Parts: sequence; C-alpha cells; structure tokens
Amino acid sequence: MEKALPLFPVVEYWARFQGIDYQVNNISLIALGLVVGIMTGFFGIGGRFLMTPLLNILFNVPYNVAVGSEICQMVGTSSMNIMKLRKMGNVDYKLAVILLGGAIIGVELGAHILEVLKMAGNITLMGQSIGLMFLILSTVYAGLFLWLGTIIYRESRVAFKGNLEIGDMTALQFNMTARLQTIRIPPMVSLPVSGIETISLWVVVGVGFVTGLLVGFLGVGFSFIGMPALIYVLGCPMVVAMSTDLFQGLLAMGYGTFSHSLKGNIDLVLVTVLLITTTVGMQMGTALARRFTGPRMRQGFALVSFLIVLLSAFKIVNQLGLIPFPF
Amino acid sequence: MRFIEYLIGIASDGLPTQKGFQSQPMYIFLNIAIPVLIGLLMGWIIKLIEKFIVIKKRRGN
Repeated sequence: MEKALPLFPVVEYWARFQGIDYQVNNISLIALGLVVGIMTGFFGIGGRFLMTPLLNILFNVPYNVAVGSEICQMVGTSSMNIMKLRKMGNVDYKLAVILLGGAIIGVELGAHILEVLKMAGNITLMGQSIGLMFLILSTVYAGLFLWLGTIIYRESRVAFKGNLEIGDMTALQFNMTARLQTIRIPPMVSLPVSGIETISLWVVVGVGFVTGLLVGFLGVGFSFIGMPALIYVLGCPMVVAMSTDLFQGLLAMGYGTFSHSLKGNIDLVLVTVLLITTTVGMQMGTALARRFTGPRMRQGFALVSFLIVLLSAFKIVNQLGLIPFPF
Repeated sequence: MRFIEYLIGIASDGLPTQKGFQSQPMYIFLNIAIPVLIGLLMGWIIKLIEKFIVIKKRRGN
C-alpha cells in the first residue's frame, strides 16, 4: 500500500533535505495567517513582510519554501487588488514595461541566489552544524527589520513633535530624486504620464532590478519596496505609483512564482491556507485601523519589527546550541 | 477535503523524488492559477460585502 503524502509535502521534502524538524499544523497556520493579515490591514504597507521570517521562526519552514510560497500568495493578493485598478486607472504602461525588464532579471537572480544557498547545505560554526541559507536569510531579515523599525520609530517621533506628516518627503529624499533625474546615461526616456520629463533608462531598470532582487530573494512584497521607490526615487505622483506598481508587480510576481515553481519551492496547501486567512485578517485589520490613527500605529509596527529582530537573533543563537528556543 | 487532497497531490509534483514529478507543467500552471482564482474570488466576495454594508448604512441613515 502506498504511503499517504503529508499535508505539506513540499515543506516536508525540503525540511528533510535540510535536516530540519518542521512543525506546521493547520490550526497554528490559520492563526498565523489571521494575525499577519490583521497586522497588514492595521499597519498598512509592510505587514506581509513579516510572514516569511515568522514561518521560519515559529514553524521551521525552510526559507526557500517560505519565500516561494509567499511570492505565490502575493500573486493572489495582487489579483484581488487589480480589481480596484480599473477604478484607479493612471497606469504608466511605459514605466511599467521598463521596470518589469529590470524586475524580471532581479527576481531570477534572487531566486537563483536562494537556490545556491539551498544546495550549499550546512556549515560548521562554533562547533555546530547550521544551515547556510538559514544563517544568511535570518541575518538579512534581522538587519532589514532593525533598519525598518528604526526608520519608522524615528519618523513617528518626528511626527509626534508635529514637524513632519507621516509619508511626507524629507529634504534628503527630494535631494535623491533630483540627483537621480540628473544622471545622463543614454538612452534617456520621457515618462509624461508620471510627469517625468527625462530620465536615464538605466535608473528605471535599476529600480526594477533592486526591487525584483529583494522579491526573488526575500519574498518581500512589491508594494513594500516598489511603490516607495517609484515615489521617492523616481519622483512619480502617488496615484500613478500605486497603479503602476500594482500592474507591474502582478506580472513580476507571476514570473517569480514561475521561477520558484521550477525550483520546487512552492507548497500549494501552505499558499491556499495562508492566502485565505491573511485576506480575511486584512479586512479585520483595516476595520480596526479606522479606530486608531496617527504616529502611535507606526510605533506599533516599529515594535513588531524589533520583536522579529530579537526572535531571529534568538533562533540563530539557539541553532548554535547556546540557549534553548522557547518555541 | 478532496480539494486539499488534490492540492497535496499537485504539490508533490514539485518534488524531484515523487512519482508525479513528470507532470511538473501542471504544478507550475496551478501555482499561478490557484492564487489568481482565489484572489479574484476573495476580491469579489469583499466587494459584495462592502456593497451590502454600504446599502445597510444608507438605509440606517
């Protein structure tokens, strides 16, 4: 008689391959989906970014499956949001196509780096065997969340003092936009829909590439990096940036899903459960956010970011056999 | 439950060691199609709920 497949076959396969004991079960996964969804809806952009490290920290899901499945889920979220696109309009198709060129190269490179790390297996550090992919991704995530938490915390403190509205462009950001628009490496393109008279094609491709690289390697959402990059780096108006990012993000993440599928990094059961629960959670979080506004909310997100840093650090130290991990 | 079992079967196509690995194109196709379909369905449901709430609120006013 044939042995029944586990509920999460891809997670199980890659966990066994990397010598990890994964601990995913339906109830805890539903709870995680709801919590991350509520945080996404409550805090706005950036909440979903928590999913990949939390899948690894709490359930030991190998990073390659966490990243691949997260990108696959984002295809679902983007298709849901694309329904609003018809209302929003204002897509700068020319900008989207140029960005997409860079993004596809970035996504592929990111997925390839992950693949190399996955196949690299374990290394010996301080006398303990530890997964190279786990070590690098946990460190990168901890660093990113530390940076993000610090920026958001500082921004909210300035907003508390009344000197800056959340989302306002600082003098530094204005300076960066102006500087990038003066780079004159041919070919130059004009983007009239975005109100950009002339900009080097390579600057736009570069923005797409960096965004794609972070998506393919870390499973970070396009709206998380792509939209701020369009507004602050290229100087697009907010409404054009939102629509354009959504449109090209869906295509780039579709490619990311294709690339990670070829590498066997996507667990469809994981994707389905998380996609449904995070969507429900997001609606709850959005409703909750209407009651709480202002810099306090941003400070809440900064605290969550610092918590992820602490958990990642704990997990690394635990893997090195220095202290036991509470989960 | 049958849908979950079907997904498990399809997911196993992504594993090089599993029997179903030969049907990998189906695994790739469903990895893109399933989230898109779920996303559109959820979007439609949310739209419907929002519409219902707006109508109720208007009537309440």
